Amino acid sequence: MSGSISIWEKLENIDSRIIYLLIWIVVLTPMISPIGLPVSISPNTEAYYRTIQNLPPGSMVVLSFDFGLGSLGELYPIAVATMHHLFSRPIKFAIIAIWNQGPLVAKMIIDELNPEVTYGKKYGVDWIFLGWAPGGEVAMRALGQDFWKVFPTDYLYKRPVSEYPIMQNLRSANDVQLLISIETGTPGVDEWVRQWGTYNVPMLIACIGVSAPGVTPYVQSGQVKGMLPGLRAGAEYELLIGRKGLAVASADALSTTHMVFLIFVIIGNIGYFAKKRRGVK
Amino acid sequence: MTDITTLFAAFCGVFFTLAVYTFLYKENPWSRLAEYVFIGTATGYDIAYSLDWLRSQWEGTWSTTTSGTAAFILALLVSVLWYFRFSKRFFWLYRIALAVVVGTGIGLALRTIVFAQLIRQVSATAGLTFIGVDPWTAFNNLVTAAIVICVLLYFTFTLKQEAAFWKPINKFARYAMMIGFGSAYGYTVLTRMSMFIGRAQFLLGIPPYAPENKMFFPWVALLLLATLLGYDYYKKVKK
Repeated sequence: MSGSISIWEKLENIDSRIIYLLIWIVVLTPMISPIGLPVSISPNTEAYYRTIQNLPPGSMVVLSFDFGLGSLGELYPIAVATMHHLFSRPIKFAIIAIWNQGPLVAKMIIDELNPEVTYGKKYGVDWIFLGWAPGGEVAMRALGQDFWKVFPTDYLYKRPVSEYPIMQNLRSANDVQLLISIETGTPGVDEWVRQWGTYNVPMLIACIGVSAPGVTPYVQSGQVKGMLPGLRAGAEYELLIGRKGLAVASADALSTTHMVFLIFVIIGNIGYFAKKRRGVK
Repeated sequence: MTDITTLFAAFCGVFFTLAVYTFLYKENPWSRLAEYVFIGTATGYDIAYSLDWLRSQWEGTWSTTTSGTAAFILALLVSVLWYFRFSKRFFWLYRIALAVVVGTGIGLALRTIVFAQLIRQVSATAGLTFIGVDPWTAFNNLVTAAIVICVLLYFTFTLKQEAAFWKPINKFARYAMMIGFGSAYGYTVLTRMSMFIGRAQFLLGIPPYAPENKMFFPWVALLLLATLLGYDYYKKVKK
């Protein structure tokens, strides 16, 4: 009897470094030799995809990079997939950032995608990169009123925005048919909803998993049309647009790590209840 | 052939990524070094980028006739007041900057917060339908409505909850909240793992990350592990 209790006690007090090592192994192994576990598409991802897919030709979209390098692992694949999707559609879009590291990430993706060659999209006509707007919620409010005032010049060439044809149709939030925010936290969805909700601009949110419970009420109330919560949703989205990227490559690792977590939660609970049954405190 | 800058960037990226993760073994000089370098780099970037943005507002030229210049100079002066945070004598000046920022923020948020973050949610919940929708949606809506009502009642402290009928309501509300917290925790795990997976992809040099990362990964890992074990041994001998 006492022997079995000691086993449970050992399992409950397992050295955390062993768990870390195990996580390293289960993350790296499926990346080196992929398993190909199935990925099902959730309604939220479907809604995110459909909203972009159903935009009428010539629609104006604002894509906001509201995250920094710390969230690259989770949001970079989603940002790449979203930009692929936007470039593949006959629409126009402006890239902005409310977080000051956002332009760094956006520039990385633009360099990777090379839209002029890959999609034949012309800078300043089909899309534009406006850069960072400091001030958080204040900047969102100002953008809603006048894009030209917040961004007198563009980010890539530092030329006055008035020189670009695309900007002739983008003066305020009233000219925008869709806002997409790829975000980590504050400023993010709460601020966008507060400042742009009055313009009735449809919104899509791609967020880190931990933010998902905070975004869900907006989806249910219809203020946000669709959301991509985390890397798993990113993998679903990559499958929908038909471009397997970093998110699909990480799907196996995500599943295996969650399985390990589940196993440890189950072991911990078995240990707890076994000890309780034996009256051990 | 790979140029020296790419190799150096790949080495730094791999080294600092693994140095941060050595914290999992225990607190050590490598993880501290990585932490300080990260903070320094991020602060440097913030300052440089903010100054660059300021310059871009005038397209590189200063002019007293540019519209909004007066307001901009006033904003700059207010922003300088933040630095009086470090002065005991002029600390009160810092409060002015703080008041301007807090006041602007509250003013902006209050304008729409009631409608955007309360009325829309209440009306969405009140509009849940149970008839004329598919059975699964009806069940889902029913559960949502029951949870909202029970959790609101649970936090109604002005009513004495002593009668017998309160017990199942409070129990249901507690379980519903626990499921909610569990779901939030699950998403937290997802985020932490996703961030780690992102770094693992970087270390393995999976495109778009530099393939050179893969070359440095095992060697840097071995180097850090050896120095950590050596450091441990040194500390043990010294004792």
